Amino acid sequence: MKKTKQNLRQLIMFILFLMVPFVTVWGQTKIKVKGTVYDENDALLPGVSVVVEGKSIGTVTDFDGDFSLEVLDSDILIFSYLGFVTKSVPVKGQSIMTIKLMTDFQQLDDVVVIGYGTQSRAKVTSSISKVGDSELKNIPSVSPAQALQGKMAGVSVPVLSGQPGENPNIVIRGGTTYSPYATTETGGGRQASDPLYVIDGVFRSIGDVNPDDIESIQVMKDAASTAIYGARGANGVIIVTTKTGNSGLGPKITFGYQHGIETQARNFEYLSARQYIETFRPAKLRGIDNYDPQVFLQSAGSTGVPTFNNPGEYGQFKFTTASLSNLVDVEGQPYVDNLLAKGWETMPDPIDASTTLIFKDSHYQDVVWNTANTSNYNLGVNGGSESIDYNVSLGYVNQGGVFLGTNYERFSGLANIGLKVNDRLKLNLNTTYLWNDNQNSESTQNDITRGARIPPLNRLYNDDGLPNLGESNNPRNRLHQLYYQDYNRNTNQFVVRLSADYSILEGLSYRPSVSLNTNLYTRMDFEKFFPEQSSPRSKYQRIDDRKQLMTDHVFQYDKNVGNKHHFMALAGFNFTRNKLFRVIGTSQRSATDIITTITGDPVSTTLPGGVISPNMNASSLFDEEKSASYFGQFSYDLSAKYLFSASIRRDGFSNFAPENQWALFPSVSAGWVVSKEGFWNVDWMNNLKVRSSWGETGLSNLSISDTYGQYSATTYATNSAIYRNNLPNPNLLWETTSAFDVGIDAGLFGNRLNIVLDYYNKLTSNRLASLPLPGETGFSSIKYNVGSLRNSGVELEVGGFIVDSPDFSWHSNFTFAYNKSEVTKLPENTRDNNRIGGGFAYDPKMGEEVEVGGFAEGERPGGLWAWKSNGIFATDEEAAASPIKDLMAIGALLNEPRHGGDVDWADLNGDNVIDGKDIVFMGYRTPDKIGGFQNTIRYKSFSLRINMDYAMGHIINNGSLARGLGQGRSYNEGAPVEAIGNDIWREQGDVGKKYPRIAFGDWDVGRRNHLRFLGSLTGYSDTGLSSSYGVDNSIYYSKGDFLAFREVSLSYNFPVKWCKILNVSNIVLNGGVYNIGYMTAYDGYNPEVYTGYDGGAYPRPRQFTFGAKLTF
Amino acid sequence: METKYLKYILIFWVMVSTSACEEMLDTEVKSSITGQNYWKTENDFVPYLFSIYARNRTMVADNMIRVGEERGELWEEGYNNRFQFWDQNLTPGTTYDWTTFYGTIGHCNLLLEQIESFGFTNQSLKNRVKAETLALRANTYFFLARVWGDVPIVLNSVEDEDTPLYPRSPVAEVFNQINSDISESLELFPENGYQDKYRFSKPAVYALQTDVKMWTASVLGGGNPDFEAAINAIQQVEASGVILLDDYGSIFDTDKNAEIILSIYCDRYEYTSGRINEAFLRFDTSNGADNVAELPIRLAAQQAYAVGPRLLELFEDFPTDKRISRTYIPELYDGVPRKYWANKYRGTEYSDDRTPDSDIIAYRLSGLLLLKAEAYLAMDDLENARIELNRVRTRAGLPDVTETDKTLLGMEILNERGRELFHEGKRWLDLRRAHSSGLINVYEFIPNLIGKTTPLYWPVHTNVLIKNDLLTDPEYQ
Repeated sequence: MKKTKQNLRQLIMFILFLMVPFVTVWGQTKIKVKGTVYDENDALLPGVSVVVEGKSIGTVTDFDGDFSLEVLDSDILIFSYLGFVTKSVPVKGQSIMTIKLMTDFQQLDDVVVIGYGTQSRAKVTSSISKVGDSELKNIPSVSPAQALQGKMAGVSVPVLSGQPGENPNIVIRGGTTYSPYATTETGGGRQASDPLYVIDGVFRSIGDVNPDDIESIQVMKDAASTAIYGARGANGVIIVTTKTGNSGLGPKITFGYQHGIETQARNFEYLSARQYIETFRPAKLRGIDNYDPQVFLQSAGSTGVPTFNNPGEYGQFKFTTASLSNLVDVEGQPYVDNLLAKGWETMPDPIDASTTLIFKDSHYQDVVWNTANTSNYNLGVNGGSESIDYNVSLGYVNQGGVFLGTNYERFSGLANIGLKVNDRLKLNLNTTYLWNDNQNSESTQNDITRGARIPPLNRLYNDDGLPNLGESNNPRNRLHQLYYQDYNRNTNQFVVRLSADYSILEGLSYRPSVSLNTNLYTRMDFEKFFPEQSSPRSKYQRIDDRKQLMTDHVFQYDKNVGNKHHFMALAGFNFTRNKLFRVIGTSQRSATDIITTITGDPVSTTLPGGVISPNMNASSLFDEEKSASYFGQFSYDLSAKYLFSASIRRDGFSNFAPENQWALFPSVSAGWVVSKEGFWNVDWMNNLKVRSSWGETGLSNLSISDTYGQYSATTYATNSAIYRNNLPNPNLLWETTSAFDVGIDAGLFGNRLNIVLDYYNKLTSNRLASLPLPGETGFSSIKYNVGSLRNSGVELEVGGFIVDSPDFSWHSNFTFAYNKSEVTKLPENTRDNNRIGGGFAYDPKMGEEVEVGGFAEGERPGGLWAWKSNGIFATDEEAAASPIKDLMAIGALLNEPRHGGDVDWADLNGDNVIDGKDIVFMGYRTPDKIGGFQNTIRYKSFSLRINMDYAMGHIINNGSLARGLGQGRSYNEGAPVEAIGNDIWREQGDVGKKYPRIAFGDWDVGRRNHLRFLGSLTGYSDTGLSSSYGVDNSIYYSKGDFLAFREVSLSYNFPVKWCKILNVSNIVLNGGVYNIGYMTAYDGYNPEVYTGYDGGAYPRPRQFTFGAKLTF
Repeated sequence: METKYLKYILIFWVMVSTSACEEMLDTEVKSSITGQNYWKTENDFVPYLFSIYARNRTMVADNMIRVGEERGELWEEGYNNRFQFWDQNLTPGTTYDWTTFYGTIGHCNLLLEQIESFGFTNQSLKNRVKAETLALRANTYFFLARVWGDVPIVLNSVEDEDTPLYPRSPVAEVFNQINSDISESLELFPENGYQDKYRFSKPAVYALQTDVKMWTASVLGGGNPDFEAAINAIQQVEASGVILLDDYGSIFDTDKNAEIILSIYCDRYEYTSGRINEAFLRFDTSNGADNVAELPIRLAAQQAYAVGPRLLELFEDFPTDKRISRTYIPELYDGVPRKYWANKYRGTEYSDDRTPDSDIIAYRLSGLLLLKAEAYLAMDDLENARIELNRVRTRAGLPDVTETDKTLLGMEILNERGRELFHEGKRWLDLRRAHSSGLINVYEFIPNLIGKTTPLYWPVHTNVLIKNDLLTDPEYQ
């Protein structure tokens, strides 16, 4: 066997002949070295890696920090341990060593992953940020992404929804699209700029990784670091490494439990039922909008007082308001007495004191919002022997939601096993499994934005005890929804990856890997029968079976020439195939509520007119995508002082036309460690590195139908029908982002303070986006390589110890990032700056009409315009005196006089009419300055963390308030407390108010004082907000700048002697408060919205946690 | 383990995994049709034709009120106004975007291009598909020409982003195109009668031709030749065997009945009409009404349009008109009407809820008879005009008209169309013709137009104008 090995070595040596100067170490005698490793506080350090420099000989310190190794006298031992400064010690005759490693909180010398290899932090020439597991300890969210908020410069992690199990979208350096954060609260309009997530070498999503399993998260921001991922790296790459075992250590068992309590961070304050009636009935009676007040006062809407004619009618009517005498007449006095005993209230009708009203305040807000509990368990075993290391863990989390009926449950398992087959071959097996159960709200807009604020006069339960439907199926009484619906959404994910590290000869290794990521999503929805269903007993069942097969082959060659020249060359190949098979079955009208799966009964229903309609439907889908890449990477450094690196990658993706499938993505970077120069003698700055990089990365965000066109199916008169619904564009090219980065890394006062400063400039060209087509083509757009977008900016990270003594330390980390986004090029059209979309507005400064909105060369995307309020008319006379005609009110009111309480809109061009030209610029949807501030204060065994993050430069429209005061649909929205506040116009002579009079059906039948929408009134696209839950009205805009108090938490390490008594090696107790509050000028619910408006989505809860972690 | 095996495995692996890079990216397409695999067999054409019918259905269902009637005088606002054009406040921001209508035309163009060179074993199938496609294209252009007048004429399908920009062609040229499509279509139909009243047939194309000729005769000054052509086309329709049903209500309750020439298929599970839903009532606003059981009530109805006083006036002198009960219905409280609601397309009441799934009638005989009366009148043949008018009145139980004054008889015909065809998408277009022929002045006749100068064509949408600088809209500057 030995012979074969040598033969092989010689063979490969021959192939690589003169590239490899021989360095041999024959004929020296070995000696045995023993030693112990301590930390700076003289605590023993187990698990420290001890390696002989330049050789594959090494060991790990045992439980008592001891090691022993056979070495040569001339060898140099390298001691490294995560979080400590690596130390090199020449053997030079020592047989017993005492080594002390110093804590390195800056982790300047830790090892970072650079694409398919790793590199010492000190030699990195690109922009990479990293957080270790300390940031992920005890976090209250099930997704690790939330824990990254504010911790890395230029990494934006807005959390738009507080739904349990929700995943934030991470956007790095402004992304590469116009709207990386969506333009509606339900995620609509989002042009994804998601980074590539590489989790233990597998492309998958970060959301379902158990934070407890994570060793580190690393974000690669510039092209030099991401180019090696070529096709997928344009939006940055996030590399997640899970915990592995430690060879040579006995089993370490850890058990952790954490309990969380989630409460609403901000209350939605609405009028009580009594206040609602008092406010709205007189407002309706005023009758100055275009409706018949009598209809509304009698029957329509939530404050109507309908006449009941038959017994039993009232007890199932959706509102509880009635005339007391009418109810006594129809149902009898005992019935009414019973109601009064059960909490019904009475009051005189505010518009007619001779009538007494009876009603029940449902306190709906208290019904749908709750305090929720979260339990989180983690159990792990970690250890290894000479030839094997392992880390296995199980996690279970059950997270409650503050909104009634929402919940997230996850069970996860992880096994990372390393096997040292022989000196040359190491195998790694990584497997993870997870199952989750999502009880989330069906539709944020229907259930929360609309459904959570129905007026308190809605009946919760009918007299028969069953929940009342509410206004209609949408919005609907949440209790009714939960009673009848049985909805189940589950994910089963299994990832297995086998990789090898084969050392062909010294310095040359081959690392192949194969992974399979299977994801099975199932949905089983059933709704029990109730009379108002449009399709009774509707059933929906679905299976999405996704499989991702991935294989990598990497050859790496490392070579040191002398002690000065260090070379690394790497070549590799990646192939990824994604398959999706989806089956959907639906059925309706089956006979019973007992069977909730599809049974096929009845087969069909005969409709009036003799049409036979089937009651079952099934569809399936198969989709396949493939990508392949060849890549190479080269790096060189001279004495770790002059650093150079380059990479190249050729990528192919199946969804392009064959002639456009492949593209080339290069990168280069260089660095100079100035502080290593002989002339450098600046005492206070012991480390200074300047670095710069340039590279290109790609994006292939397209489907096969974008390249080849698509024909879809429909029906006419029960015949199947097929039509072309997507135009082909076989000329589509890879989207390319070319990025330049220059940065400085500085270490001050003995690395006590570290500063990282970066400037970047990214140009995304051939953007894969939709190009609007002229209307006469019959298609609104085609997928196209649409122009260029530039994102440039600066980032600063400052970290260091404010106090650093053995008993007391205070470490702070501050991040700041500024990003400027600009459209630089658009396809030629006939408009100024090749503008797409938008419209015309009058610019008072220039005294002329200008084109605004949409997207234009030289402009930042995401601008918002709105009509401007000059104030609220105090009286009818004042309103009548205004010569201005508001063309944006409903047509029927155009020739009617305006009234006190209406908005005095600004007529910018002085033409005495308010139209689309009278709009002013409000600001931008997304912030351009973001960052955070983290503090870890340690006193003896106590550790206190105080974290904050902030964002500036965005504006928010309080659409939720506008909807509440404007009552868009004249039926279903509860009024916020502002309806009777000091800022709203309530009666003639109210001067200087901010909000116009409360209105019923402001959009449908009113003046549109609150609700006016640029898109539907002027046809301007991408100029105003894109949802009717945000309004293009200056009254509701304010700055969104915020400082969020994110975390205050405390942990306590039990003293060692107590642990010994308890026979455990370590106990940590922790407790904390998360999402404590905001400092912001914005008066709505959530300043953390980057969509331009806050329609009232799932609020992010305030979380209290406490837990313990035991290590045996 | 023997390292030599490792070596072979290694070499094998590297060879396999890095070879054949071209095939490496081939994928199996199982779930989508692309332009590359369609138009391969004769069977690909009929489904494509049906998809154009589906689009045509959306166009007709969405616009029978919006374009056909909103700007007329017969409706008023319901409880939850959804009118777009009723107040005659038309702006480039709130008008139609014509992209979807050109989408329909584009589908016709694509089908016509593909079928031209495709050899069919069954020639009459090919002719029928072409004939129907041409009729659908003519019908769509006719819609565009009535809404905007001058519109771009596009006869080629789009293949990629590199599309020519088209200016608006004079409305007369648009009608030349419509007429030529109709003539070609009429020649191609393999038979004279109906195959399916949900699709264009030769009689249905004649009905379309009638409509077109009546419009060009009055609005574009085509005069007698066009009126004659219209009368001729109606005679062809009558020869197809359609009759006036005795019971007026059954015209709307029975699908594809003997009075119908062309109707649009609607059904709860395939397509329901939002416009019909907007004329329905909701239980919560009307549950106190005396006649709640008879009202067209639906859970999610919009109750957006109600019947206006001008319709009631049309029936004022004829309280025994058999059509009244199926034209409108009062919402009564203590016997007093609060509002009146449309009662023609009542949808279907299922055990759970009412659904707006009535077929929408595009052409039926009585409408054509009244057009015939209008044409005879225009050509000063008052005798025949009265005969055709009275055929419709007889069925409604009204006495014969004996009027001999041309203008007064013209008003009788216009009023009769109002009574007979309310809610069928005709009123505004009837008034346009009457305005052009000098019978009425819409700026005095329609309450919401009094004192206004709103043009009779619609403005072109901002989004459309902004994407094509050859387009102008001088009427709305």
